[in-house]
Amino acid sequence: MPGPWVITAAGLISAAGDHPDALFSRLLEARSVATDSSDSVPFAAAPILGFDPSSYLRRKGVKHLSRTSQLACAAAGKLQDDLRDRNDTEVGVVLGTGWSSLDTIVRFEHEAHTVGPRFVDPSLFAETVANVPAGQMSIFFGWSAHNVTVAAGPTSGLEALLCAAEFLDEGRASLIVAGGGDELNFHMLRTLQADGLASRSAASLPLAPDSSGPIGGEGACLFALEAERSAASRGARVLGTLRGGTSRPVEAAGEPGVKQRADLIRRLLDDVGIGADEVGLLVLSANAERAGDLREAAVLVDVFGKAMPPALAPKAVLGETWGAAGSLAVAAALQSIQRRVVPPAPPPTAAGGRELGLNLPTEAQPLQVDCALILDGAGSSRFAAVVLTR
Amino acid sequence: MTSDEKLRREVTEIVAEIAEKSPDEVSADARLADLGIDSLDGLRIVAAVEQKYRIVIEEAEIAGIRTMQEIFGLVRKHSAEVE
Amino acid sequence: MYGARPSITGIGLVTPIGADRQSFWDALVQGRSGAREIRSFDASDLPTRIGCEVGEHEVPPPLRWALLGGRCTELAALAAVQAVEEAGIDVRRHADAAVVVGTTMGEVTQFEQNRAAHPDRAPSVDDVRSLTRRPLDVIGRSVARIWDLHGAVLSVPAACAAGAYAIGVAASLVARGDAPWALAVGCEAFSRMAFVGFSRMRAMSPDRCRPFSLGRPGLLLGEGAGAVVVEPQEAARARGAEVWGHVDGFGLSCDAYHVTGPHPRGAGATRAMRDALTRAGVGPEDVDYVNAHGTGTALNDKTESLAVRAVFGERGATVPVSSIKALTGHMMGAAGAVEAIASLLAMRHSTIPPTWNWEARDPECDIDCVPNRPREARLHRVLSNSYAFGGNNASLLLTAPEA
Repeated sequence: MPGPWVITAAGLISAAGDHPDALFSRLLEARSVATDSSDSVPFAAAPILGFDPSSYLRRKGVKHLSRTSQLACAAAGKLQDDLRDRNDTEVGVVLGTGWSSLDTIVRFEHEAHTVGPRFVDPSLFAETVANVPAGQMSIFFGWSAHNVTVAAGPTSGLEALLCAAEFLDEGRASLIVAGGGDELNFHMLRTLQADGLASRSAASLPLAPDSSGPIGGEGACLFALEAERSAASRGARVLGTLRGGTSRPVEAAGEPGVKQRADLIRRLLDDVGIGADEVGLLVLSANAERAGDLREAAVLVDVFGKAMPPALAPKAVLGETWGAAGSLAVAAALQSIQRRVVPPAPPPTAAGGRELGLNLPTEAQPLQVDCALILDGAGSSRFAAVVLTR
Repeated sequence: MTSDEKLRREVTEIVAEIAEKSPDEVSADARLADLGIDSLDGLRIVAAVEQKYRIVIEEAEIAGIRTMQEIFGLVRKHSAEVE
Repeated sequence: MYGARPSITGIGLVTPIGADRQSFWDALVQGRSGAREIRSFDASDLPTRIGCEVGEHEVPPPLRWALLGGRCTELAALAAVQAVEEAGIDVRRHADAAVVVGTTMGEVTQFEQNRAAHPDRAPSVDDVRSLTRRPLDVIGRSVARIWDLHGAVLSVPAACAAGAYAIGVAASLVARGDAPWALAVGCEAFSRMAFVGFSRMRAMSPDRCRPFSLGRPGLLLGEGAGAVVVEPQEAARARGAEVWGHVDGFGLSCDAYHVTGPHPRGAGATRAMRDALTRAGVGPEDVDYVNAHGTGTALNDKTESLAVRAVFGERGATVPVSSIKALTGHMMGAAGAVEAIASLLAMRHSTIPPTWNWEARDPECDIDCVPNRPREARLHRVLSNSYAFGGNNASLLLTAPEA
């Protein structure tokens, strides 16, 4: 992916707010957004309460979009406010999504039976198709260089950024809107909880010894990615620099899984010419799935040993946002780098992390080095990581 | 209210909802394009009236729909068949 | 392409008109259609009942073990195995190959079967489980497991352009040197959901698919899988592998217009074709044949014709353009890959497969759609188009091996 590529705008919709500042404020509070029950889902979850897409998207037809489409387009709208002097025909879109339109598939199939195949709403079918959320982004904002959807399960958010970097390298656009989004919905969460893949308690926290699984969340987070020269010519402010990344399926369990992931991190740092001692911040993907949390800690201990950088665990606040997780983690890292602050972790996460050899602060502390390693995919058989600097 | 007035009011409400306007803004003589209705909205409107009145509107008839009057006409025509 | 020249050294396919390349090619030139009464599900309550299905297929037990998904994964695997076996790469020595999969609906067969057993019941945990256990990337991961490949696994669900996206992304990976070789698969399993969806969108033909023909009634739904092995030309040469063709251009664009309908002047389609040509370093005058998306819908064929005219200028009226969807139906995620393979076969056989079922000239499709009769021609370069919901457009510029 030569580059480096710079991030010049960010747009996000999350349960902690719809702006990177709001997200970071919540991280500084180290307070989870999860609730044991809400109007949108009667289960423990971290939903975006009161999300009104029409307040972000002033066009007809918004209410017919799937929630994934709404989140992705709303985040795009937030980002678009920050884009200046760009030619929409030179802007591309790469969206990562883990689940995409699962809920709409369930709804369409059911409606095709209840009202009958001759009467079911045809526009609902379009929203069952996985690439439509990204397509809607282009339709709303006129971004026409290309439009790609990337499905890599929980690592879709980072995978999308890496794909965008390759496309920039190939000269496919002068600016790419890239990131990830996934919706939370009743059907999915109910099944994941039944299968023990999501926690039934809003108190389940990453790295805590009594964690009972990930808390289902949702969100969308997008970035404007471009070459330094392109940013300079637009007079755009650089929020951070994407130096490199990696994304692979890996062994889900055991020592081989730890070694694989550790090797991938070492190779990544080597590729971008950054030593382990030059990493100032780790952004964890630990999500309260105990085996995955333990493995992530073991991987980092393997790579950094005693020289463990401070770490941030965004899923302690946001829950598991799947395809949005990697991008939200990047957003958190960018804020941390800009403000030179490492937010604290909730006490159980900090204490649990310490037991495992990690370094999560219990109070906000200064960031010493402007370089972050962001991880994605804990608890799954996918691994992704990116390196960001100022 | 006659049954025809009722039909026109119901269909107007359906179109207004899809056009995201109030029913008062949808006159009986309106052209769909003027209401900002595109092809997908058109399909939604047809699906909604088919579902409501349990009628089937043919392929060839959909292509010709451009005005509220044409929608009323199709609903009347196919409802009469059903009866 | 920048970097190594991506060359295709293995092809595999499973389609409604043949599950090996010879039967497939024979069907293309003889006009054997895959359209018949649907058997995959109960279509008795549907307004039309004709589709293009693959039918029964055997999945040998050793293969089945590797697969984490259902029908779509099986079709993908069968095509992938053909391609990898033909390419003859020492897979054990070069296991860090990339796998790139394109599909529209992914794995929904089990879900549909569960639901069909209790259609009036509200969706249950068990129903939804058949989806949560088979997310989109399960197909690529399964295919990688067949040979224990440990390179990147990418899934690009680009709806009806997914097969082309998969080949283009795989070729880009190989060109950049990110993988020693790559396996690209486009796949789709017949689904009642997609059938009902296209029916309700008034896009479905009640009987035949007649691309570019006046009064064409619409598309027929299909299913299948197409797979290609892509490796650097130098590597293929070094091991004396036979090359089907080179992926010299992967063009992309987005209509940014409407979620299901194409840009009325074919602006996105035009741009994707031009992008492929530019990246291949050639001009429209160098293209001998255009393998069209050609779904047989009123809108697509018209706008694609406009795009061809825009790209080819005066020659747009005479450059041969044909669509195999008349026989295969619209295989959705598999279409772009199977049609790229059809393009390679056309170059190999020096024959343009015709657009079958053509009845009358549509003045709005002012192109030479090679109606009803195969045409012999030396083909050096073929442009293969695929267009999808969300305005996702892709064009592949394929070059014959001797060029």
